[in-house]
Amino acid sequence: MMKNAIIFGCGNVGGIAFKKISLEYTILAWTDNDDSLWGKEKMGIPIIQPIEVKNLCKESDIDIFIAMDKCDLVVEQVMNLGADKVFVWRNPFFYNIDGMIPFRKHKRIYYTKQNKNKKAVLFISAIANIRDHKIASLIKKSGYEVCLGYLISEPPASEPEFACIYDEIYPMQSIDELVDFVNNSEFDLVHSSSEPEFLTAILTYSNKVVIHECHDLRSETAAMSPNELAMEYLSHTRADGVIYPTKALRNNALLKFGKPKERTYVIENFISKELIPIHRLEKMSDRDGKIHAVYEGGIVAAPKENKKYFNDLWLRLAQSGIQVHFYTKYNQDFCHYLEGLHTNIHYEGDFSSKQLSVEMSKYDLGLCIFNTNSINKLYLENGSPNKLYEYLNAGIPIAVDNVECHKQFVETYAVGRQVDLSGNILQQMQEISKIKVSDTFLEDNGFMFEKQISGLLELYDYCITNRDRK
Amino acid sequence: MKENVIIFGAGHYGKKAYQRLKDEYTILCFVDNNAQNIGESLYGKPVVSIDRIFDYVDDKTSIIICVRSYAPIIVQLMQMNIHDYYILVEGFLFYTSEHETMMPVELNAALPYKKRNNARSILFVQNAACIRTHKIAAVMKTAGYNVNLIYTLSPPIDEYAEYAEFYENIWGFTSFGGIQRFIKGSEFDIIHCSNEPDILVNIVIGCNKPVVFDTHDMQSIRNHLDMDGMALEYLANVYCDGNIYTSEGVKELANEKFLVHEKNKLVFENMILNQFSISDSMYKISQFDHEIHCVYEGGIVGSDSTNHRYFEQIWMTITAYGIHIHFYSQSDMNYCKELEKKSPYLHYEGNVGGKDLIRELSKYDLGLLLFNVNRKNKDFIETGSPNKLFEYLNARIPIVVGNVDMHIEFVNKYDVGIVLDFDKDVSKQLREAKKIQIPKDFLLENGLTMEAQASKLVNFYEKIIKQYNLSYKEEGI
Repeated sequence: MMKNAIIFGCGNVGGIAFKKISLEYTILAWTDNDDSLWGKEKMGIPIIQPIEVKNLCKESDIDIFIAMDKCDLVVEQVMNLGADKVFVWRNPFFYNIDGMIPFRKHKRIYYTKQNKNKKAVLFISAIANIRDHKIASLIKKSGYEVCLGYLISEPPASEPEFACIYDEIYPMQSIDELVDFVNNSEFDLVHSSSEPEFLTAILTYSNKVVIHECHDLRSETAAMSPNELAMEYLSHTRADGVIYPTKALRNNALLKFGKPKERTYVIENFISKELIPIHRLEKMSDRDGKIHAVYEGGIVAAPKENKKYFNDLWLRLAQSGIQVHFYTKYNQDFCHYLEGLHTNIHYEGDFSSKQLSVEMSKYDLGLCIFNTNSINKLYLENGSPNKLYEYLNAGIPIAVDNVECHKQFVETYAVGRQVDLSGNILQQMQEISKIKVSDTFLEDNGFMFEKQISGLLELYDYCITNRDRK
Repeated sequence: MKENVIIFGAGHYGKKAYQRLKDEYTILCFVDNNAQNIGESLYGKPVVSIDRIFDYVDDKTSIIICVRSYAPIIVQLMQMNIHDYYILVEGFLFYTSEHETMMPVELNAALPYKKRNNARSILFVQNAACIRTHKIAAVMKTAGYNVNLIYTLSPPIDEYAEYAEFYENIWGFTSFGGIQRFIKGSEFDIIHCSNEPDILVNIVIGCNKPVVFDTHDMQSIRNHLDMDGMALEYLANVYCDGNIYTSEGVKELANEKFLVHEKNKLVFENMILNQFSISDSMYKISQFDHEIHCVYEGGIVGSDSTNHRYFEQIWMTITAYGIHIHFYSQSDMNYCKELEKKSPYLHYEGNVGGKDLIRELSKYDLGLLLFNVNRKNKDFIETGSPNKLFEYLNARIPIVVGNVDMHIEFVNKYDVGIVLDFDKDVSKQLREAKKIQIPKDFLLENGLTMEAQASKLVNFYEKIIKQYNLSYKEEGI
């Protein structure tokens, strides 16, 4: 018989907890300190008051999972509820507060190859992102068996096309389970995503070849704790091979970590074939004669030094007579606030990549102008200019600012221009809008994601043949 | 780095940086954002506000940020159009300019270590070697080993200067890569690496030398560790070649947490070195006033009432019976003074260390080993090594323990103290306890000193070296 559990915290982490433990426990109830939730249900299970938990604990043995990022705030409260065991969340795992012993699955399973003649790769990350799925899908098409391991959540049901890429999908509940699974499964190689960084570091102690996929050198973009700095160092230096999203980032990493270049590879965030739009929309400017610029991607409300803090920048563009349209996943309240700064700023919502490639074609140009300063400029120089490819995929030219790699790109391919923000902005934007971008620009110039996979397979083979670690 | 240095941050890390750099660089000043520090002087150097930084900056001067949360300082420097600076994080140095960010810098150019004789050579590695590490080094030196030390945060200068002479060499390093290159090229037979934090051990594992990992206090049960910290602790415990713990309790917990049942493990408690045994006890204060004087030595916490070292409630209960409590602590002096004011029976005696402390302790009647135990800290206390206990016994004073199984077991086994029951008359119990006599050389005769355990340690090191060399040969590396 399964043991009973109650999940304390009905938010995002609560949902993760539910998935993680529901195979091991009967979930009796949720509980939360937010009284507006009491009496309601979540996933068909009642949300009760914390005080009711105390009564339930008197009747039977119950384990409580504190499912929130700042567990410490309620540990004291939960300790007094009379639970048998109390588990706390240390993203992405649960630990028993008594001795901080990991929450472990009872039954361990391992992967056995379906075809012994094929190579098998385990892709692993906290939550696999689209880039991971794209690479996995192409590796599978190249004849590999491909599995997915995740620490937090699997590909959502809303994206079934990603889930079916994989031969098997495995949740990982603890560090030791992860290492044990990898050691005892028939993988030729493990492809580990950089977030969280410790994941790669841990895997490098397994008996498998490990490829570290670095999305971002975090030491260049954020203040890091000593532990985080150590993890970044260990994952880069211990992995058998490392993948970077840009050449510039790789060059920096080579200097920082002294990794031999032949153990590295660059996979740019190019567009996949399936994202090439089948048609274009009519330009808005054809109707109103105004200049419509579009931005798609992340934005932030603070701090003002962030490269994606656009309040002042967009206000300036809007005041110059540019219509600024933006698409983002960011918090809607802030997006509406930003839109409220000027009638020429328009929040357009959040679209999928495929939809965006069509949607953005109705604008005159794409904005690749950031809030640059000396802290983030270097990051932008090294970062992946994937926005450029997305605008070009929608067939629109690009306005860039003083980031050297962006400038060089638009000049080399004649697909955009640098904007001098101290000059006449409207006039410059009008000039840019006249630049024509061919429908087949990305394909013609080899900027397709699929083209990069043969090089990745070579790196895989090189690392399998030349193990770097004891 | 240039010949002159401005240290940004006059706190803990700034002071450590000063100690590390003062002999090779000219430290011009400290810059600090705390208004209270500005205008003061630290090690004879002025502490100035950032507005005055240009009085000191020139092309022969480097700025080093020595603050744990360095992001706001970078913004400040950027606003002053300063783009060229170093950051020292936990002893690791990084350089940032307009062209590069957080590039590791190694200041140590030492050649790899070569053995001068046939004796085994041990390398001790710790950010700032603590008393336990020094004691172990001393024991190993006596056993005929060459002992060497690497630090990243601070050398044994400020504290424990008397131990510095034990070591054949002491090196400071400023980068992960620098440490790895040095160790890989050196002739050490074994590396002894301490935890807190668990960074260095993970850097040292993979340097082609056997590594013994010494857990002092297990971080994950004492502090809130983030997942990076949890992972580093896991890797250290699982992938070093041998694990040393300070008590059977921690060892058992490690087995359960990290599933390391099959590994080489040793329990090596925090005992005293013979050389600190004292022969001349002081007169008891109680001989003069006939009252009971208890003593506590160690850390004290006032800010967190759930901490095991939050003593206000326990001490107020005891002093209410007219019992004196004297305390020696390295913790925040202001808090200690505040605490003292809460009862005329509480006496803050300052911070005394080493042999002097042992002598001091001997003038009291009883040593307090009473902690503020709750479910949150219970594991930590139950598994921690009660080094205080050995210090009290070294001073020949009986011990008063609370509801901690391993403490109870110890005092009952050796008959050296009592278990205090707060539901009964505290005064009466303490008067009884006071009568317990601790024989001279009690620790020595019961094998409760570091030296008495030396052979255990030597055998453990030798076993690890032998096994490592065997697997090295098998793998043909």
